[in-house]
Amino acid sequence: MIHIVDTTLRDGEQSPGLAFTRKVKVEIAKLLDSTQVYQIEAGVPALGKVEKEAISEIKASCKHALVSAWNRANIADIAHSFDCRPDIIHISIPVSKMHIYEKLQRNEGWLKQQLTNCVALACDKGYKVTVGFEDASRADMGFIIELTQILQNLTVKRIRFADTVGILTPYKTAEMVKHLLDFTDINIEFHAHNDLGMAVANSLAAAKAGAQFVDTTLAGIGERTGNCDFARFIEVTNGMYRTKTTTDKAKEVTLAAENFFNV
Amino acid sequence: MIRITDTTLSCLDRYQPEPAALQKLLSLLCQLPIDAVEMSVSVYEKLLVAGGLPLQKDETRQIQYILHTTEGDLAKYSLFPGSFLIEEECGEKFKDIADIKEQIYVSLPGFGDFSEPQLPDKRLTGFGELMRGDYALAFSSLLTQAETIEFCPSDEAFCAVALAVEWCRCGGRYVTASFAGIGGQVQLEALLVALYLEELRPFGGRLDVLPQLKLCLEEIIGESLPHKQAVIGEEIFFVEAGIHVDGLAKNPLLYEPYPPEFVGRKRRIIMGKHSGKNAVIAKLKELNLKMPNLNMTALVQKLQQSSMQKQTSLTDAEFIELVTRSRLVHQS
Repeated sequence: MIHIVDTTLRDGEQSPGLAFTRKVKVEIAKLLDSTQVYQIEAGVPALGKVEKEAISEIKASCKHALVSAWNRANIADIAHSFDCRPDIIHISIPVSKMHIYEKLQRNEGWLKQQLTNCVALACDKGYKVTVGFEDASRADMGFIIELTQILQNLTVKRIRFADTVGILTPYKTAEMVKHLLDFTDINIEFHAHNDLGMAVANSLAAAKAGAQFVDTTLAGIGERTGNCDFARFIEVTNGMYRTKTTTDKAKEVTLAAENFFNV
Repeated sequence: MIRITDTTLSCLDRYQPEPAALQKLLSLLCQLPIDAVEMSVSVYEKLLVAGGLPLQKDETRQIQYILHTTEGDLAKYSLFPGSFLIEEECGEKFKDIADIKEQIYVSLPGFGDFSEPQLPDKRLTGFGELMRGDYALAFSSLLTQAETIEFCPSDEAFCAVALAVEWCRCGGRYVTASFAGIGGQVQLEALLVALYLEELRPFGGRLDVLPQLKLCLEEIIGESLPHKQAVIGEEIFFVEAGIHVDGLAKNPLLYEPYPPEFVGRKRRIIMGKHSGKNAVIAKLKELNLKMPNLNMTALVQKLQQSSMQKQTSLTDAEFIELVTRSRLVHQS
């Protein structure tokens, strides 16, 4: 079985030029929920009151999908998430040396401690937590395995493996997923970007290699060239995995949502 | 050495392109790091009207021309300065691997004042669904055939670029692609960048002509290509999210797989719902504006509200007005 985690309302909305109102976010969420995707990443509570209200309303409106909130790995962001009471708190942390040293201007030791503190905070409040490894495709696999093992000890059951700049190929995707599964039994959620036109193919490769969760967006919207296109992924994997979402339904919902995308 | 045949000029007949537009497109294509350009008979005849095929001035880089025709017309086009590609029945030979059509290359002896053609024996077209299965096994089987094969995957399953990259990684030396993936083929520019980043193929041409190529093709097909199409989309280096803007200011490679200039583009900061304080500072710098003593918290809030009201990002003019008004309020 492959579970779809749709991030139209978070990563998709980060596509320059998109600014969903609360009403539009809820409408898009209902469309997604009607396809019976596993999870809807509804937004970033740290953006403020309007965003938090939207996420709360989305949670109240969804009949099928779990609703998650995205956070940077800091206590303030996570506190904002508590206000919306999502089903899942997702904590994103960069794992490549370039991101840790140049963007955060920190080191691996700091990162491990910060991650542990943030995950413990959310878990102690009774939340289900998933952790996103930003720039995983350019990170050291040894470090990723180490972090995963730390997270498993903190009862985290799923990590997001993000190809943040879209440079993976199907072979490399499969190798990295298999490598992680050789050393841990974490659930892997694969997050592709389409910079080289391979988001759908890489997501398929990840699924074939053992990832049980795949991130998508409607019409493939997202940063730069976008994310893995929801309807295309459903279509290309038709008949390969058990899923409640059909190709026709995915296409119908994409068409309806495109009215909101300035396409 | 991986050899790429561009098939763009075999995919344009339905648009009835003008000779001058084709000539411009061909001269731009020849600047890309490709090895051969294939064209249809109709395109060749229009290029003759426009003055013939461009002379190859660079002796270190000879692009081969290939005419896609039929066996019956070989004699008619015997003066074509290149080789020929003709259809052939595939039979049952490859039916276990994929749904494939077969074409063969023909080079007329004794022709041409250009470097010796390195043609494959056959081109195999199709393979749309191959990514769903064990493509590496299929490639292994194809690559151990006696004949050399040029791989031409179709894109109906949205995986053509990926299949082409994997073919090259598995040892395939010949592959086809078309600009912007026109004709449902491998997207040429995505393939070129991917093979370069994967260090599978040395670079020997220019990609900064891609924006001109895009405009040229759009003129021929009479419609715009998607703004966020991989490698050539005009908005793919627009950035709004504060985390990304901040990261790019520290090191562009944090959030870009390659520099925009590599493909003839420039980065542009967009002001909208996800722009934070650092994005505002970066945008002011991009616009060359000095606005000291701004109340950043209030400004960012106003920016969010304005973009949600508009349900899109602000234009540069709208942003400047917002900042100016915000500064005046703060000063008073």
